[in-house]
Amino acid sequence: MSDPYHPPVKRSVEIAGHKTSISLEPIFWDMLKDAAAASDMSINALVAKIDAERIRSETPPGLASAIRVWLVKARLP
Amino acid sequence: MELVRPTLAMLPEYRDALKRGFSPHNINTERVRQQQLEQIEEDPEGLIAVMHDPDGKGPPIEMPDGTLKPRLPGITRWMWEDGTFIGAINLRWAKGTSALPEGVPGHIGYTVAEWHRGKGYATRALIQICKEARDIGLEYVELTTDQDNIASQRTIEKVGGRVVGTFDAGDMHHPCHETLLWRIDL
Repeated sequence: MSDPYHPPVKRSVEIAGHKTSISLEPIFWDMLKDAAAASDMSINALVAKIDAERIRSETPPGLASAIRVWLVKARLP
Repeated sequence: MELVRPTLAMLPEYRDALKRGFSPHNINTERVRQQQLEQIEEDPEGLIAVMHDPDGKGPPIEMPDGTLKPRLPGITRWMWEDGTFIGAINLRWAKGTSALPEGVPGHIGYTVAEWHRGKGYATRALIQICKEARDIGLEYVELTTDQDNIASQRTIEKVGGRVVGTFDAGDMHHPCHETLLWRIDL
């Protein structure tokens, strides 16, 4: 993706058999794809994992927010 | 809601809106809808390219009577909210003048998807595209509405537009209706 400031775009994902759509900036979709490939998981599986984590949070954010936070956190030293 | 320059990454969402019945034009509505759906399959890059053509370099425009006219400089922006397509607004102009190009029913045209209407999106889009028109150097923009299109008239009034007359070529573009010509000073 050439322009990192591209507005969010929607994609369909399936979490535990439920279809939903998530809006993320393309740069986060790219990061999500890389992160899933790096741990040999599908994007759906990784999103399901992030979803499970966020629900356990004391103040659960929306799923798109949770994915962005997870991706950034994964890159922190 | 923000106005965005359409990109390939946004096309799937736009295609969904077209499939749901959205058409970016209020003239030849169904034909344009079908044409755009076809072009998304056959030449998505071309469709995106023609939506940002500030130098009028795109292919000529086919008029309702089948004749071809050189393309005016023009830009299309999509109303976009959290990854969702809301509607489209376009601005076209003649180089070097604020005057409405001959035969064109307005500098600006907009359509909000039916399922997103009544929430003020058109007004916000019109305010934003007027800023772009000012940046391009236009001193005013002119728009046309059917006399019975009250929603569109309220939208233009909210942005400071006033009626300056009726539109002479209106019969060609808005058959069976009196067409009002509006002006917004920038």
